[in-house]
Amino acid sequence: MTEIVALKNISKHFGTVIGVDNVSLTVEQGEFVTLLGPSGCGKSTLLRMIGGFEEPTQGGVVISGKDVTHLPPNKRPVNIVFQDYALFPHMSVGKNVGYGLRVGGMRRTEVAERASDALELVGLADRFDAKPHELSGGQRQRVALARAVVRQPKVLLLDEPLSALDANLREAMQVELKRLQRKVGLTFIMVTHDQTEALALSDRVIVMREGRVMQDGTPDVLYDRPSSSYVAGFIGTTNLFQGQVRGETLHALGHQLLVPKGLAPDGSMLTFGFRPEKAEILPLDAAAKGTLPATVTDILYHGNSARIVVDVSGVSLSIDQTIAGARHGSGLPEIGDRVQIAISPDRIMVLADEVAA
Amino acid sequence: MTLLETTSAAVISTQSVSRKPRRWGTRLGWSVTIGAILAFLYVPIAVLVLFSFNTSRSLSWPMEGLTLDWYRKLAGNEQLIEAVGNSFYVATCSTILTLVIGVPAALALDRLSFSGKGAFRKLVLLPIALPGIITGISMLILFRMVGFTLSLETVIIGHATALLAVVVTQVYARLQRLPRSYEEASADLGASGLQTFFFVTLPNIRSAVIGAGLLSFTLSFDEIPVTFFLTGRDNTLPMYIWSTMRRGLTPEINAVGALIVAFSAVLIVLSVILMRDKPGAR
Ligand SMILES: Nc1ncnc2c1ncn2[C@@H]1O[C@H](COP(=O)(O)OP(=O)(O)O)[C@@H](O)[C@H]1O
Ligand SMILES: [Mg+2]
Repeated sequence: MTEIVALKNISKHFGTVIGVDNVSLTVEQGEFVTLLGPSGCGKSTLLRMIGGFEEPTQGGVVISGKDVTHLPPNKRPVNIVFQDYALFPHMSVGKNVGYGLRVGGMRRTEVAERASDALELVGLADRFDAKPHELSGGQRQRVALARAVVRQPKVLLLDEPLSALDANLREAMQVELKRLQRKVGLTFIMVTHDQTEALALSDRVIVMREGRVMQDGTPDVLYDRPSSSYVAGFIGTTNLFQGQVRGETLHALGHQLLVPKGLAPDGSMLTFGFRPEKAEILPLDAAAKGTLPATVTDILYHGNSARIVVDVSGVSLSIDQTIAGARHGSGLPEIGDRVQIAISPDRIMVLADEVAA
Repeated sequence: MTLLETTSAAVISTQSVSRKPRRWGTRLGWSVTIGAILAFLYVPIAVLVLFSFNTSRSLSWPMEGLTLDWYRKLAGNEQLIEAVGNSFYVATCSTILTLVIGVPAALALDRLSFSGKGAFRKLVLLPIALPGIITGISMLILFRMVGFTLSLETVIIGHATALLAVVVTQVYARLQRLPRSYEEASADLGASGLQTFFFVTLPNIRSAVIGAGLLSFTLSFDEIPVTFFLTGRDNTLPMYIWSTMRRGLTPEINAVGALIVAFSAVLIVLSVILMRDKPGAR
């Protein structure tokens, strides 16, 4: 694998506001990397520094082995798809797509040819002469994609590319994006605040908070081994509680749980967590070791599964149970039932509550 | 210049009342109001045009007969024709000059951030509030100091200065509504600064630039105070008319007026055509 983008201790200050705070990261050729975080955490600023629209206050940007920190956007081998698409309203779809080639001095006939090839790629070959305002949101999105890939950039940057679309269309476009990325084998760096989108599309997700990187990993690592309660809470649902490990026992919620040896240092008070689907609800009478007695307080149905909310020593925990189709409802407790919950020992996560390096 | 403005205002007002009337009473009331407004605006112009065809010199009703004599006389009036030529020359040059300075100034105001930008903006816009007489006198003093001889060119500089605020205000307002991502996208796609300006920015502020240009042209065309102080021996049309009027109203003046009305009408049509934004453009 070859490294295509490298950010080196990069920071961006807007007066007293710190947009990006000392971020270092690398992106490999052909990777789909997503910057994930809540609004205002500095994702766009980071992306815009790669594109050349903001100059870093500190640190450097290397693209394809070349230091581009101080180069303007038109001198960088990357292209961006803006959140509002920024299609030129006075040009036809074909002219928009061909724009980057035309200003580069390519012959008119060849530009038209390449532009229609690019439109073909996104399934809009027949809208070459349409004006952007005549297109639907999804079509505009695809034109913006075609316009960005037609110059064969080394990296494609996407700032919240799907956020302007409605829910149904967004899902369809996710598939489309992934397909396009595979087809052209391009490196994608996407920005989003939508964790589902990030997990669905990316090879690697970088979770950000207040200008800093909280965790950098593959979607399954982020899901199964979040390094902090912030990441655990941002990606999927997590039950969090405080506890103390002694040997193979976790003292938490006024009870004792079984955990693998060496899960956490002995004796220190830490934050632990587990995913709702990694625990089971058992009848109170079933003999089991290391379970937590609980009271059911709420049941939410989600098609083929249900989320059961229980109370354990005053802490509310969520547990997902699948509903077997034939015995609808029979496996589920009722509100007010006394039950016990068993958490798979190897599914208990330790979360550093300090900011990860 | 007021011709251009008032006509378009009247067009707008007629359109906005063509909505479905609720009752006959209100409808009648509206019709009378509209009629009164239009009469107020256009009766003087109609009188001017009408009397330019009057055989008699007197301005009494009814007219004695129709003639084209006054127009023939005009065609033979060398001084007048020269004045018209001067006016076109001054208006054209000052419009071009003010656009060439004003559009980049508006761009700088909108796109760059520099210290003192707020003050710069206010200083550029201030001359619009200054009476022409102040602009005229101050520029006269300046030109005397640096030893310029007064000519149509000094008038052009004077007009361009006074008109700069018009162009900057209009173009700046449009730029404010233009998403910056257009220019960023253009740069991202490899365009140089100049390419971005001509291929992306200018087409999107086109109607504002044309509008400001036409307004500048008409303002310059009938400007008197600044011209009065800054011209040498050459006369512009309004100055010529004003000087001949001191000897009394003549039907010849009516004929000139009628021609200006016709010319303004052409300008209005032109502006409507040119300023019609293409669909989708902002
Ligand atoms: N041009 C700017 N001027 C001042 N502050 C800015 C500018 N751009 C971004 N910021 C600030 O930097 C922080 C990060 O912004 P941004 O990168 O847009 O966040 P995100 O894309 O994650 O929502 C925010 O606090 C924002 O207000
Ligand atoms: Mg953003």
